[in-house]
Amino acid sequence: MIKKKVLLLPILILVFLAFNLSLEAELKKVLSIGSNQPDYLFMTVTGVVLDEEGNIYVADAGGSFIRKYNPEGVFIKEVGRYGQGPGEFSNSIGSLLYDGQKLYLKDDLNYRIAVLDKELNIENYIKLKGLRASLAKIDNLFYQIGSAKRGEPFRQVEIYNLKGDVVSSFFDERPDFFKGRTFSKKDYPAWVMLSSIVMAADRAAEEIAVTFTNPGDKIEIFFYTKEGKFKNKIEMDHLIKYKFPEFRLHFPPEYPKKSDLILVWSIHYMGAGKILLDYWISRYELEKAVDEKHYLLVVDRKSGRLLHQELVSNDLKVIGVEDGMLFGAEIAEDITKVVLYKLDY
Amino acid sequence: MKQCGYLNSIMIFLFLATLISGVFVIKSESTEPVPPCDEYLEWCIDWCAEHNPDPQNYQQCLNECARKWLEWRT
Repeated sequence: MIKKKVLLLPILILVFLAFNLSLEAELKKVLSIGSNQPDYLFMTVTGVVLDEEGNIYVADAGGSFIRKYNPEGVFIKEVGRYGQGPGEFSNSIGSLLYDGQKLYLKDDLNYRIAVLDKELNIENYIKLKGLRASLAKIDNLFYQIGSAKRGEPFRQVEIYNLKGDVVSSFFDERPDFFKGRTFSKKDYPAWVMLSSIVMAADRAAEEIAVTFTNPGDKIEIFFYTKEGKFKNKIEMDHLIKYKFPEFRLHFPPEYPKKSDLILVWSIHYMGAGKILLDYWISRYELEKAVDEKHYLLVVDRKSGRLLHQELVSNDLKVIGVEDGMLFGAEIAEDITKVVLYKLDY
Repeated sequence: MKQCGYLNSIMIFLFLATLISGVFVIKSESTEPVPPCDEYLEWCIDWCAEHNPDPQNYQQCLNECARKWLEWRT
């Protein structure tokens, strides 16, 4: 009996190691753009997209500009400067989209989306009626994140037409740690923070995925049709044993000596039935993060099963995923660089 | 006599205006008015995620959103 156990143990260890190794994957850097030269200098990169020829478009909120580079990363053109007039952007430009024909640049503090052609000529603006976060597009519909009801902390996804009119809205889910609790206005800022959501759109599948930035005991991903009709939900476990820290429900929070915090920073469709999560685990001592681990998690769209996990640099800011490529920004030697990685999973 | 009638109309108008505004004040107090900066707070928090590279900066950004909200609210 003891001999059997002794034999079983190494087998179990090998199986465990093999399983973990199979989850590990490696990102391959394909291109890096950024230097001290004026046309290659970036401040706060918020949007990166590629067109079918491989040209790269970069939106920078710090510089209030959008730039075009060729597939080798050589500068072609820049448009924009700080301001509210035609051809100008605020310092709060965010997501950049490309739908195969036009580029769409969200400009929050100018309450508009700039529509540009591939030569970076601004064709028109879509006026927005309030401050909304994120931007996605399927066919002739835009998606942005806003508040569900004035004075309540919860978010929803609003659907707009090409004129900027709200067509409808969806998402009335709550993180599990809110269930059974009554909202008090006193804790409003804490609840607003904890109700944050991130979303992604799959143009081919005509589907929107939504998840909570601050997940509860499990990661929940909700799927909707492009019209905002609920399709299904998948759940997955965290990489560590995690219980949502109760003290964060109150404002101001009273930090214990040690605590963990998990954030799902962004969500992306990878194609081939896979979802990529930008996932952070932070260990706090009082209010300071003493250890941060940044992972990319590849999840099966249907089952929620974790297919791959990769520990990546904390300096990598994931901006977008398309056609097996990950677009991001990285700070190396105090220089912000736009980076393209091949997702070889 | 004509002048008094004119004044009466003004008095009735003022009385009604006071009554209506009073109703609005009482109603808004009972439902806890929402400050206009709430939309800003929600957007600010989502903006922090979009514009910051990591959770440490994000946390600082969130604190700044909450600080501004408190400042404007009071």
